Amino acid sequence: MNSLLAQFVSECRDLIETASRCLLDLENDSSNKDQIDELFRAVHTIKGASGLFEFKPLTSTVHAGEDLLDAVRAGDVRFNSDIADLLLEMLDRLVEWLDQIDATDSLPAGAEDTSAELSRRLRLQLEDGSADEVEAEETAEASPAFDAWPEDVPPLPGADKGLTFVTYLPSPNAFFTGDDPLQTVLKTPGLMWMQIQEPESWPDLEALDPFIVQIGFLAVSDASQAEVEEHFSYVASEISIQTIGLTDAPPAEEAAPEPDAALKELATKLLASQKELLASEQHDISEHKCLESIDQVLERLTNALELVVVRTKPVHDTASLRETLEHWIHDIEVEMAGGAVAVEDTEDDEPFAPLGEPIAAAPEPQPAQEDVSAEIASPAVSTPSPRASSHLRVDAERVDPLMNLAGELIVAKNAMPFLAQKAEAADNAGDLVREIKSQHNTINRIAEELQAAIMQIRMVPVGNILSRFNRLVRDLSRKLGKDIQYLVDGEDTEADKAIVDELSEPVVHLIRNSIDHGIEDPKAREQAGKPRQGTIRIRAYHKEENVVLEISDDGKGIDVDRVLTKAVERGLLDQEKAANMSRSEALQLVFLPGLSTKEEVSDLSGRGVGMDSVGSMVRRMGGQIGIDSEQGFGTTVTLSLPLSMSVQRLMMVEVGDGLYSVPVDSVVESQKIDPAKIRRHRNAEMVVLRDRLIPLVRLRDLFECPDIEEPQTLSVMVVDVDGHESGLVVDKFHPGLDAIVKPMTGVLSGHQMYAGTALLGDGSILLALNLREMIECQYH
Amino acid sequence: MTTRPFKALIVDDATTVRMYHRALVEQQGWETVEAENGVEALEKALETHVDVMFVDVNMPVMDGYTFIKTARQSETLGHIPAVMISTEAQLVDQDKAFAAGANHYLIKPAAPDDIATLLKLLEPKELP
Repeated sequence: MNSLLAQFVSECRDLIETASRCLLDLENDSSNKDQIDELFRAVHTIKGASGLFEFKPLTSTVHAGEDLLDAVRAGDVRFNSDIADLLLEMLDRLVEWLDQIDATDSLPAGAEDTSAELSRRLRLQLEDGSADEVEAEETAEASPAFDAWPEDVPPLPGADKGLTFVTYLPSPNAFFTGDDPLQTVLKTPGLMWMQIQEPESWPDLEALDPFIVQIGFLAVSDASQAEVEEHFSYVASEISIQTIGLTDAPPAEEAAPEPDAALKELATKLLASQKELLASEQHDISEHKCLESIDQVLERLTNALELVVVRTKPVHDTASLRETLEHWIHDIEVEMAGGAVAVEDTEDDEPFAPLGEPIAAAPEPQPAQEDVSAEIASPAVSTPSPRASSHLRVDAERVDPLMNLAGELIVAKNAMPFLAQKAEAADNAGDLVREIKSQHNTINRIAEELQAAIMQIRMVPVGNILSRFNRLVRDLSRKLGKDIQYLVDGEDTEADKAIVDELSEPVVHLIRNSIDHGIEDPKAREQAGKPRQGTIRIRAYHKEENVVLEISDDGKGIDVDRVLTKAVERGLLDQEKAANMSRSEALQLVFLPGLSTKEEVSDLSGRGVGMDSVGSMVRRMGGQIGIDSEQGFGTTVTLSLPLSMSVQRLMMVEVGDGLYSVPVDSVVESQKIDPAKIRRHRNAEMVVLRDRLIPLVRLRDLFECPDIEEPQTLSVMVVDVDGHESGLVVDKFHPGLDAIVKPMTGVLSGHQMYAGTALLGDGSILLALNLREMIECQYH
Repeated sequence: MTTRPFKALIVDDATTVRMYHRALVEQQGWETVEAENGVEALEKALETHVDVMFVDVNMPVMDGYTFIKTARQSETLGHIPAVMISTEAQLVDQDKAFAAGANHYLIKPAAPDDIATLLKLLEPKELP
């Protein structure tokens, strides 16, 4: 894909995002003029940019959307949810097309049909509900046009080579939507013949609205069908095109005009423009400056065409400058037409003279611009305040290597203590050791700063993803006939991009759950004495080193008794335990696999994706999940996630031949204990540490290491997992270190016992233990 | 004659369109300065010398008409040729462009040849 196309795709995606947001906002407040303007501009910009490529279906669809919005903006059409639906559908289609363009550089097959159909429906909204008119237009459009030669068309030269025949039925609102049908037809490339098609009957004169287009056009051109299509691409849905005459002859390739001819042609146009500018009525702009710009254009133009027409006399006052320019234009026209420059028309002090030589050799220098402008008191330009760009867009792909580099630097740093140790062992070169150690400190500092800086780049507001769910809530609640508003607080709260990206999945499930199971339909809500409209609110905030998301609804809440009954039924816990469970403990049961209180599977929250998988998604990201609910009043799920998936302080332990790590944060203490103090209860081993009873997990057994003789003392690392302490029995303790734990990928990713891997300074690999899974594994 | 690279100011809020015009202009050996709206365009035009301005019509903050009008009031920018480029192929828009002080009007997307030829015609003669 070329870079222009890539830019187009990415810009369109942003614009679509903007447009969707505006549309959803407008649904709440359809009178917001700024939103309409912003929406219009986004769609307009997409249309404009799409014209650079050969995506006619896309262009004409967006054009139809733009026309509709223009009418909304002008107040001709009232914004309603049907229009919003249609425009959202258009945006969805655009996203689909862009995906296809992304993948194949072209639109999907059938895009023409989709576009025609969608454009038609968009234009239908414009018709102001006059269905008859639309139908009439449709029949006319659908009627198979003509065979080899249409009746109405007189014989034309070149018919044997094939001509292009166009039927154009402009939308009745064409004047209001930025089209000028007659002008469009007259500008058809290679236009040979044109006829206006009257409507079947004209309304009475009093009833005739001159601003409604009632006529159609028939036109024949000798340009190729593709060229004509291109010309009408903005109104593609309103025309039908066919090649008439000898259809099998290939359309004649138009010879490119000679470069010189092209230059002349454009020069003529440019000259005409200068005349227009000269003649146009200008308000509140400096006439003199305008004339000066014409002067500039003429000067450059004569130079480029090597014309021997020049204005030689400096002109100071506006009136004579105007006159001079008028003469100059005239002379250029004459010169370009191949005639001689008329000298005699300079009645007065002949402001200009023909020269025998090109301008470069003109004896007199060009008038200095300063002379002219100095006399004009020019109003000061109001200098608008610069609009500082508030955020920098960084491609994630560019930042990721930086993150890795920082990681490597940290790893390299880890090698230093090893070196220091070695040096110490070799000879007692204390100086060397000190030096290495101080170097280590330096690297450490740099690495930390680098990492912090990079982390900042990676920080993005959670609002980026939360705002997208607006659409989800809207669509789902409509589908279920519920009325739900979606509110987000703290959308500016920032977290690492990886976290924010990962967040979207669990949050979608939670929102779906709330819409599907939580919030009641309007009737039930009224009966319960609640407002008809339900609310889903997401609050995002920072708490310590975590970003917290609270997803709450004011729905019917969770029936704790039912949760308990279910859990017992499914054998997830016994009757006795269930009876003693606190309310909040019982609520957490919903995160257990296989417990869903909603019996039938709805197509919304989907089969198999329940709270348990949401829980495990969050935990996989190193986060925690909690739930609180009051029956009848709603449910709040709280996700607490680390700000970034980044460097962790780890404790290293040795078990068997392997090195393993646990996060320092979860380590409570490390103890050497006498094996005699171990108490056994059923199959479990425990030890009393001060006043606590700590269950032991023998990692050797868990990892199925070969049995060894029981050592004199056991090395026990007490860890805290979700508030419960366990003692890990290991072979040996090692010092702590900083490392980036990367999740396992590929075939290893299924190993739930491990949270990931980290690289050590000597290049060996450290397995990070997933304590939660491991301890659960021990108990089940 | 010294040939200094000429410079065109490209004003459009659509990045894609700017990129397209920039490529066309740079193919002709010109340098480019870009701006996203009229306000930014005024800033850019005031801080660097430009020879031609290509201006989009519909932009946020300050639209193309206002930009050209404002430029035409300015001591330093007033005389610079301005070409409006717009998607609207309407006579009424052309009239508005001329009323605002534009020297020429092109329909978007401008054909590469048109831009090339136009730049040839609008090449400044000498160092200002």
